[in-house]
Amino acid sequence: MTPSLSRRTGSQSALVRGLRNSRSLIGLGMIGAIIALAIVGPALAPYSPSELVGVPYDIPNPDTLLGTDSLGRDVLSRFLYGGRNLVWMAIAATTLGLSIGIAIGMASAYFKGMTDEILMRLVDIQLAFPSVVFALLFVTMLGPSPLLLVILVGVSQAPSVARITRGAALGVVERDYVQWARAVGIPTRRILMSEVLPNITSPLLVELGLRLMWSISLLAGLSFLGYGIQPPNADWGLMVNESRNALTIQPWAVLAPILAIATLSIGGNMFAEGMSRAIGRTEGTK
Amino acid sequence: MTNASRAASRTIRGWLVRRSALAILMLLIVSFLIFCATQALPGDVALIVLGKEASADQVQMVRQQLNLDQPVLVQYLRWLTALLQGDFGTSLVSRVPVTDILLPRIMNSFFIVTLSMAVAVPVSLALGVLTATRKDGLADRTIMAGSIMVNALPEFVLGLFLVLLLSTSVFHVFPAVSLLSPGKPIWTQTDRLAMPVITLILLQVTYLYRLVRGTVIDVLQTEYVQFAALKGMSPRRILFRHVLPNALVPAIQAAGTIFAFSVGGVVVIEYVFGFPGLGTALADAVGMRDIPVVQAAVLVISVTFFVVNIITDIVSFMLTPPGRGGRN
Amino acid sequence: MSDKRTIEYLTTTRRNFLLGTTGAVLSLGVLPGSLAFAADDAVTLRVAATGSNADSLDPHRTQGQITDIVRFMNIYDGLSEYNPDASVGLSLAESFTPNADSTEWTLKLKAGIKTHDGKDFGADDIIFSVKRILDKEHPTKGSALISFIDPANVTKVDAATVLFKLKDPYGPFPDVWANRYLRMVPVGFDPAKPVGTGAFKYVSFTPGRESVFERFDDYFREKAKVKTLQIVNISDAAASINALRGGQVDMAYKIPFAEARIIVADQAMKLLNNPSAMAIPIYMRTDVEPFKDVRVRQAFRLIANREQMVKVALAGYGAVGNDVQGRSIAPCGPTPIEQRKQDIAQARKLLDEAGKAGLTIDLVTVNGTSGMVECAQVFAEQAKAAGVTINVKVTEEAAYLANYGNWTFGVDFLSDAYLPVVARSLLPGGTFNTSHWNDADFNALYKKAVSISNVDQRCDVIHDMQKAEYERGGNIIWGFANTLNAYKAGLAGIEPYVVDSPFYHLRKVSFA
Repeated sequence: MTPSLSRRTGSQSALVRGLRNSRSLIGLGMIGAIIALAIVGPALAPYSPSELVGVPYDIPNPDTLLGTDSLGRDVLSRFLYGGRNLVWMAIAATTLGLSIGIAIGMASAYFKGMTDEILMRLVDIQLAFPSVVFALLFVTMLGPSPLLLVILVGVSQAPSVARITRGAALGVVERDYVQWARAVGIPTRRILMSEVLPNITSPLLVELGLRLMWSISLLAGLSFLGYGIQPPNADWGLMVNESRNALTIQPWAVLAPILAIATLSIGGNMFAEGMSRAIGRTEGTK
Repeated sequence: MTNASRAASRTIRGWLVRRSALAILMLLIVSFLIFCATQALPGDVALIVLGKEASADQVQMVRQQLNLDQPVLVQYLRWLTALLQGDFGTSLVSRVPVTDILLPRIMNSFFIVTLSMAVAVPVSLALGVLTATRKDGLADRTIMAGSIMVNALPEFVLGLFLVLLLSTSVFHVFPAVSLLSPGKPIWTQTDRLAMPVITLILLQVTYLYRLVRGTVIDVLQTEYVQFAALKGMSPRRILFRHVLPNALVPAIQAAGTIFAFSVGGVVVIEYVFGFPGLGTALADAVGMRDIPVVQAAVLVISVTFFVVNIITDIVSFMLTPPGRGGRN
Repeated sequence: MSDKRTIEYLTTTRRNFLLGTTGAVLSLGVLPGSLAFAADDAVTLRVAATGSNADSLDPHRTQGQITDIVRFMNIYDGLSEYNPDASVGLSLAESFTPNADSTEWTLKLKAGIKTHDGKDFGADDIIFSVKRILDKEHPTKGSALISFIDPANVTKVDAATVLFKLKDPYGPFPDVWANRYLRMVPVGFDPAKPVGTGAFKYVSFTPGRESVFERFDDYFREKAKVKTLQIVNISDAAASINALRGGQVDMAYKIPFAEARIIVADQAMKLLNNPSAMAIPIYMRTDVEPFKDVRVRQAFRLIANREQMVKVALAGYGAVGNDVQGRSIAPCGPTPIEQRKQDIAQARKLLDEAGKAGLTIDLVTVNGTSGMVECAQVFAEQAKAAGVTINVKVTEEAAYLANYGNWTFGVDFLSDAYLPVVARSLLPGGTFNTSHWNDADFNALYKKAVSISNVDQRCDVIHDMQKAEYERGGNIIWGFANTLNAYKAGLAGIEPYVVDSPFYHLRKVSFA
């Protein structure tokens, strides 16, 4: 399963090469579109997300283009407002997960020995708690705050990133120029940041897409179980939860946020898929 | 037995012993973490047992009955000692042994996960090989697009759609709710398992097949396969001699991971279908602050993870063709 | 998963392999069990309700989840019971006879009452039950309701007669026994092998999952119409509706208001709209800031647009409230007090006078009964007009309960006739007195009301109590929620109840 390291060149070219693949471009476009929607959405919303504009579960009409939700609030407005939380939280959690994972993975590969063993066993311990269980416990303990959710989702993503990073970095740290840099006493942090990291960006770009997808799925799932963003906030995951019972009588309150979540998530997936194709690796791992 | 294989079996044994010792050590750490995390859950168990009508006296009485007054460390050591003797404690809420509550639930969860894996693994292998050998063909693209979609939908959304499609709105093939009769064995109630099992299969296949596909494509591009093709070996022989053995190892590792994750991670799916499994038991217990049940459930999930990991490691170790790398 | 089998599969051709597994997937659909859940429809009534692992068969030591209540209402009886219109009828009791000042009550039991194990049910069993309910060692839900009884002063007159001697006069004595938490059990009652007098007797029970009962053929009045009763736990409302839709159950207890339209739109299901006595009060603690000041409380009551709250939070399934407990139901009739309406200008004025203009406050609620979260959100939205910022905090049930009675501003739900609700929620020491209301005049009026046994005279006092609530109470009683249940079209014998529920009287239900 070891990726062919010899074909790796540098970070810029990996990204550029990756983006030459139409899939990663489309994926990036989808992600961009949803981010844009989340940012400008509130400005376009006809009502405030909490305003009561009609009776519960009214079907689409000229006043409320996508109908109303369980409390008679405008679905379109809530939809336009509801992306902000999920988007920033997913991006923040992914960034956090990647940062922690990369740090652990590189340290593990670079220092080897005891450090490697301890770090990898920590990763095992963390992996032993499924993300949902992990989040469930902590949210119950500390209360559902957005920051906590970001940390929980981020941390639960870190172990698999660490494994991928370690796997890729193991080959790189053996190379002559890294050994040379080490021998002449260049600070470890600089070696890791400027020699090791740039040479393992390809699998990490794949991982970025996959992690984004997982973050979204996990955040939305937690909202669905009632452990995520709390009412009366407008949030896509919460919207699905609040109106899912009425799928047959007012589908838009559920379909609109699902379509957005799916677009974001498929975008992440296609980006990963395109990246790995362009880079020569065919599929990322979990 | 050849010398080489004898040597190999010795290494396996040593490696296995080390692996198991480490796993046990880690389980101890995990158990302590679980215990601390659960003891810190806010909310007063005594109040929850009594409901909102409880007076201060009543609450104090129940608290004493439940031994909630002692220091956490004392409670942990007692818990661990009992645990080693096979005693998981008594549910604070229903006052029956934790094993009575969890055992049937664990069996249920393992049953549907095993059942779904029994379908998902072979299907994934077939789909993976098929699409890899017809890379970028119409079938490959269609299946890939479908799997990306299924994978991208949050689990509960997939579940909700399947209910609409198969249970309530379009077809009425399977019951929407997994109302298992506790008196009858689970395998006699297969109709009620269909929905969660189908959802699991879909999730597992869409993930696993892509992994197989990727590995097969990788192997097909390696020099020795190219060389074998040049030598005139038939594509079918290449597939069975070189490609499959190499694709199997990552597939089995991933299958192990999926199994472990499914057992603990199907909370959402179990919730959607009201399935009486480990996940819903855990979610309920967390909600009711039934600490002994939470502790036992989380511990079972962790043990499953470690055990499955070891098993998949052994299997991949034995299946890895000699001289071709193997695990790092 | 075995690698061996995988390899076996791989040795077959790819084509067969795929066909084979597709076949395996499809065969799940044609297994013999597929249609089994519809087999014994005609004799088994299957009921879905909300419960938990804490489920029990004990009618007294219970957490009061719906599954428990449905169970014990059908396997045990009370001395009296609520009729559908909330008036009280006699059940096990033949008569209740007071002395002149209502300090002594003589209970006469009906003749020929049998327990499930074939014994006669009589005075000893009643005394045993009363003692069990009032047992201080094992707290029960019903103890607060009959705390005016000293178990030492309950005596057997003859096999079917019991005398209750009370310290203080208690007029509504016959009514109190209709409460669901005051079921009667035979001497030596053991919840592990539950024996009662009810229309159904115990067969099997798995906490958190399901329980099965069968018809009791020696029931002391008209016996149950179905042979078997199965109560299954379904906690999720959507799953409840789906189970009913798919024919897995015949009756479903939990139907949230907003989703009632799904039932109405479906020919195969019927919605049961019970005009219940359930209020979902938004309570304000009268003993702490900012609600210590009656002007702030009245201002908040003026903020509420009650019609909108009923229309949105209850999807119209309810009636507007007037800050007075106990929906205008039997026996006292409507309250002669003018309906309070939204008046933002007046609310602002009162807040200004109290020095509380522009107030910001947390409103604590919980995903309990349908409407609790919704009404808080609607009220918070309405408060914006009065310059008041309300942050709705939806807590988890466990967290909500852990601090129950201490929240400054929160949402609760209460369902009962007027006097029992007052005893539990408007008097000092009442376990539901979330507003910490302690009004000397009101307390005196209550004492007077319970000492009167003449209904009309008692109602006059009750009207005075309601006036006090309206003028200075700590609850915003914006509306009364109906209780919505659903059932399969074709079931007969189901009628709406105001205080009880048709689920408490399943012996009347039959397959038409």
